[in-house]
Amino acid sequence: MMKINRKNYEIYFLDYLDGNLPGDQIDDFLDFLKNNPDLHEELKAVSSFNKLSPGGAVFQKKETLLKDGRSGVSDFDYQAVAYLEGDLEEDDEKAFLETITNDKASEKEFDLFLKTKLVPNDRVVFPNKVALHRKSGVKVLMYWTSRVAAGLILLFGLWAVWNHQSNNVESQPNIVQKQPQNDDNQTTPQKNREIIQPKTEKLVDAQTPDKLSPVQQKQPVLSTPAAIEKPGLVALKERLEEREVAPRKIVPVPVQSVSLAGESSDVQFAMNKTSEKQTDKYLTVNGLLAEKVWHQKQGESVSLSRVLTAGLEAVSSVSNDRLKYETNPKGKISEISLNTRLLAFSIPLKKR
Amino acid sequence: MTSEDYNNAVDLHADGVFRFVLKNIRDEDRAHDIVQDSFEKLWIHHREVDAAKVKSYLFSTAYHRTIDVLRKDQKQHFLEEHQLPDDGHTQQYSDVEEVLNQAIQLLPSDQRSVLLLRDFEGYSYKEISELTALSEAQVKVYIYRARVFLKNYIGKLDVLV
Repeated sequence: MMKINRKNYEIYFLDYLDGNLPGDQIDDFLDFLKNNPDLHEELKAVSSFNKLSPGGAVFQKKETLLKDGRSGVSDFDYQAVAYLEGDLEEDDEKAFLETITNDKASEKEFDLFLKTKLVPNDRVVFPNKVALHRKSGVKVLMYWTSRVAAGLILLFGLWAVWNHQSNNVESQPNIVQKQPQNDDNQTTPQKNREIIQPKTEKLVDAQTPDKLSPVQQKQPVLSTPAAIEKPGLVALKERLEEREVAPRKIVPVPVQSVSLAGESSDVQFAMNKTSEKQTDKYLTVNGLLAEKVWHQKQGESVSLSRVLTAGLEAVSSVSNDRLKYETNPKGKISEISLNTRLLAFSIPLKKR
Repeated sequence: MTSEDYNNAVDLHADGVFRFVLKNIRDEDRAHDIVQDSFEKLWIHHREVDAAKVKSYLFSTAYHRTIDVLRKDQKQHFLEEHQLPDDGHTQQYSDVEEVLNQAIQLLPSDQRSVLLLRDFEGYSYKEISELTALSEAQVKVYIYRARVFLKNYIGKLDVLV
């Protein structure tokens, strides 16, 4: 522990004056004072000036330092602004109005205050307000959905018109070819039937020459029948309608050995169907599919693949062979392709 | 508020906010950006904002964005504020509006903003204090000082007296 000496005595003196000198050092401290009378005198002198009195001095004109809303504003200015802002009490307002009425200078000053009232310029407008508008998520979805729907409808319309025109072009020469043959021979040999129906692989009634009535032969029946119940079957109907003209004109001959197994032509099927059942003018796609699956080749069982093949054949017929499919050596469908003027693609299904 | 309320707010307040910001910063492009930012922020929070308070929300956002912009180029504005008065007094003015426009730009930004909110949009002291995050007393003081400054400014021009 450090002991008091003539070099560090100030610290002990201050602690003693502040009353902070530890009790175990007091004896040493008193001994030090006894041995150093000059420092004892110094301690007595310092202790008389230990605490200074703050005195009674005060700052005058304290109010000049205070801040409020009226600082820097004259009383008249304050009254004028308060009047403009509607902050004056009723009595103060009357007093203020009296002041400016009786004093020309005040009135002039107040006129200046009236001019400080800002007025927005209505000619200034935000230039692109529409860009700030927002659409809700549902509206955006509806907007895009309707866009896509409109596009699809347009495509379908184009396809329908195009398909209708191409069918008309195809059907016209067939009739023209058929007319002279009937005039000359009054029969329809197999070869001519094949020309008329190029896609037909087999003609069921080919061996039996059709007899044509002269009156019926001269009727140029090219118009579309009025009663088409299902618009979705336009392409199929048109094909059937072409054939429908001939069977009606041909003298009915019993159909021999009707077998459609393996046939891909909807036209031939339609003709057979017409001859078998006069009440059915044409088949629906569903009917056609059912018939194709039902009249399968001998030994071939009904399978999903068969149904798929039949469906693709039907679609291929309806789309004028724009949709095609390819099979591998096992007879499985390996690729489906679509080829139109607007769109073409192929989808590989299985490895060959 | 719904998206319909939001779009109504665009139609109702876009011009007012634009005028307020434009008067504050005198830069059409930046005023345009601030208005867009304000509406963008409103759209982001439109589900939480009460449709009845949309105007206050917009002006508050625009005010704070404007202050941010002004602080960024404070030096430039400081120079303008201290140079323009002398130039202004040597010019001849055709009408009060022109002089006021000049004087408004000489006001400190806080005083200018509260005065514009008061005069352009008719907000009360309390509303302005809410918009600007200033105390009501401060708003009052700013408005008084701004009016006195404008009055003194135009009062010095003989042509108007």
